[in-house]
Amino acid sequence: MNLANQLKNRLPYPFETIAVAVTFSPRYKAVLSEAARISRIHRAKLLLIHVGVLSTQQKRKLEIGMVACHIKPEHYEIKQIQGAIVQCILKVCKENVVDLLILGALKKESVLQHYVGTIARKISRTAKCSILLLPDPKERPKRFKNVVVAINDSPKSSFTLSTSVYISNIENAEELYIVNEEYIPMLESAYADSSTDEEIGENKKEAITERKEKTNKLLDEIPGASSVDIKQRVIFGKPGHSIQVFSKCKKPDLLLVNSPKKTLGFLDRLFPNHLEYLLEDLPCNLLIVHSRGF
Amino acid sequence: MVKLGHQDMIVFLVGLGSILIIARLFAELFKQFKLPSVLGEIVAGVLLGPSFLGFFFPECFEYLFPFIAHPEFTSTIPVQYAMDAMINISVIMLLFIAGMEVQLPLVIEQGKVALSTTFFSMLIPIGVGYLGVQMLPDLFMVSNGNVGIVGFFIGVVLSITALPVIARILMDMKLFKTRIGMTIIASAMLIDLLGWLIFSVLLSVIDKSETSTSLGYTLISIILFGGFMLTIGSKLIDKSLPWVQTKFSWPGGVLSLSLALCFLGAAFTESIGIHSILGAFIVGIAFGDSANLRDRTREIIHQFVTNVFAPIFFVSIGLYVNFVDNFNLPLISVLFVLAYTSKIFGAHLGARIGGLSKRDSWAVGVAMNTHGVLEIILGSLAMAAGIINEEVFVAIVVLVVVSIITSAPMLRRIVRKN
Repeated sequence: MNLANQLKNRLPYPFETIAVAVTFSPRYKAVLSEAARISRIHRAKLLLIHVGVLSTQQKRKLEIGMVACHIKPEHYEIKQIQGAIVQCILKVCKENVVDLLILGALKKESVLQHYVGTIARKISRTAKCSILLLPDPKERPKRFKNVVVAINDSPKSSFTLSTSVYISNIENAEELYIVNEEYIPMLESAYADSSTDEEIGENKKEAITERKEKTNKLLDEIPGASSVDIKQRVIFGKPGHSIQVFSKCKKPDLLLVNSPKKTLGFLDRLFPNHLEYLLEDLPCNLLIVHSRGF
Repeated sequence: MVKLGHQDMIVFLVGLGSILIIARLFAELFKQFKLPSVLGEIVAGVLLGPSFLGFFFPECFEYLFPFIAHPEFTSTIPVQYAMDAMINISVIMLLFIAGMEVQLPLVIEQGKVALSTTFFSMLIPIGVGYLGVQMLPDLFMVSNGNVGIVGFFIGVVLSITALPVIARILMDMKLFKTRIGMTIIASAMLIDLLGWLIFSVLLSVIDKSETSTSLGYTLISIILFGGFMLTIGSKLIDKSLPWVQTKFSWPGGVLSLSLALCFLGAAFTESIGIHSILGAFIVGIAFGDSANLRDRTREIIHQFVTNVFAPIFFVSIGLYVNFVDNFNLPLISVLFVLAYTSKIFGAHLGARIGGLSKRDSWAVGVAMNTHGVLEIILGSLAMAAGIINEEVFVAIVVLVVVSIITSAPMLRRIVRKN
């Protein structure tokens, strides 16, 4: 069966195959521990992707790391591949139908790095599977207690929302905050000449009610939604930027967002796409949900 | 230093006060009929000006606006300068807030359909406008040497879509967030940007003054300035806004800094031989694009400009131009036919090629045929530059007024059919 058929009508979850990029950077143990914890609770197969040739010593290090994380040898596999880093990682993900790729990432990029692009960001902009970026991985990882999911008008939002419910249940999260990002460009100018504050306020209130009703309808259809403590909020502002500001204040353990409509390029960094605001300065662990096959 | 004298000051302030009062009254009256205040302000100007007040009550008109009734009197020259400066500042501010409406990321997000709609809804009206003037130069009262420029200008006027007007219509009809709505808004934004760039080049081309520059220099200057402001400039503004909004008094601090940037941008483009309006417009885009700009700040800037400075400009149109004497029905009729057919068909074709259904494409075509404030500013600048005369300008104003009134019912009809 070809890949397209394998992915057809397949939800972003459950995460059956999880991959993690291994670089032997100072944080590699922490990233590995986080990946191991996640693969364990999802009962997923874990792929350790290394671009380049692994020395015997490095291979041994990985095996010891896995033992320390209580991952049995039959539950993980080391993948070595040579070539351009981004392309190689994406290739392994594609060939192994990876559901979730875990990457350690810098919290903030410098201006130059942002425009040139670092490995984790480049993969986030192009990957065809869900990506989890960990700006602050821990060697003793903790479960995601507070989860925030950002949804908007995009049809992808229903998949992101259901993924957030799925993860919240698996992680036994204390709270799932559903944040609706509402952006009405030109609202101020359209009503500047003839309307009062009240009318603009009414417009916003109407948008809030509409959004909450839509979300409730979606939640009714998502299995397991009733077992999670759900809070809702509608925020106004540019998508991506508004959720970044919200997450910086709320400090959740995990933020879920939609994957971009298309592969993001340089132009999307120059005139920022929603996701670029988050990639520029990661407010917390970020899960970019790829609603593939739909 | 030359100052306004005691009497000049009284004349200037009485004129300004009268303009603002009558503009507000008519704006409120038109609001009752769910029409944009700009229409009320234009009508107020026509009633206050030579077309009505000057004709029926000449003494009253002379008392209120002696600098308009008797521009030949040297005693009125200082007030004429003062009023001209006010009107110019109003236009610059209007262009600044027009720029703030342009969201380039939204245009990029809409992708192919927005690009295709923009392309055809500019190309076809510009082509039709150009050919229309070529075929009927007498009707447009064009001298032989100017046919190409006037044709091009008319084409640009026909191609522009009134962004705030159509946004309001779409919001009221709950179509704003639909695919049709977003296509219309993204295309109208891009057309605004391209329209002003083309018009600025056009103004530079016809500038015969000593400071006029070559076309190549103008184009390079526009590209460099626009490129800088829309990339590095907008990032600098975006990064500094959170600091400004928290450290400076609010909203006064942001308001004064934003207008300062607008004036400096306008002054810069004027100094390099491009019209000041383009500087204000591009600074507006860079400023309005910032994700850190608070909604409330944006709203205050819009309210301030739309309700204080915009009326001065729109009333001044009727004050300086006699709408009765310059009302040319054949010209208006031809302009209508050219505008409605070319814009509706062009935008429909673009949307269709971009991937919208046949019916949705007609809705896009009709909605894109909403002309507004920018066309009037374009017309007044073209008139001041000698590209068009008063009759053509009046025809453009009438086109704008009628298109604003007709676009909502036409769009409603098409959408209901869909």
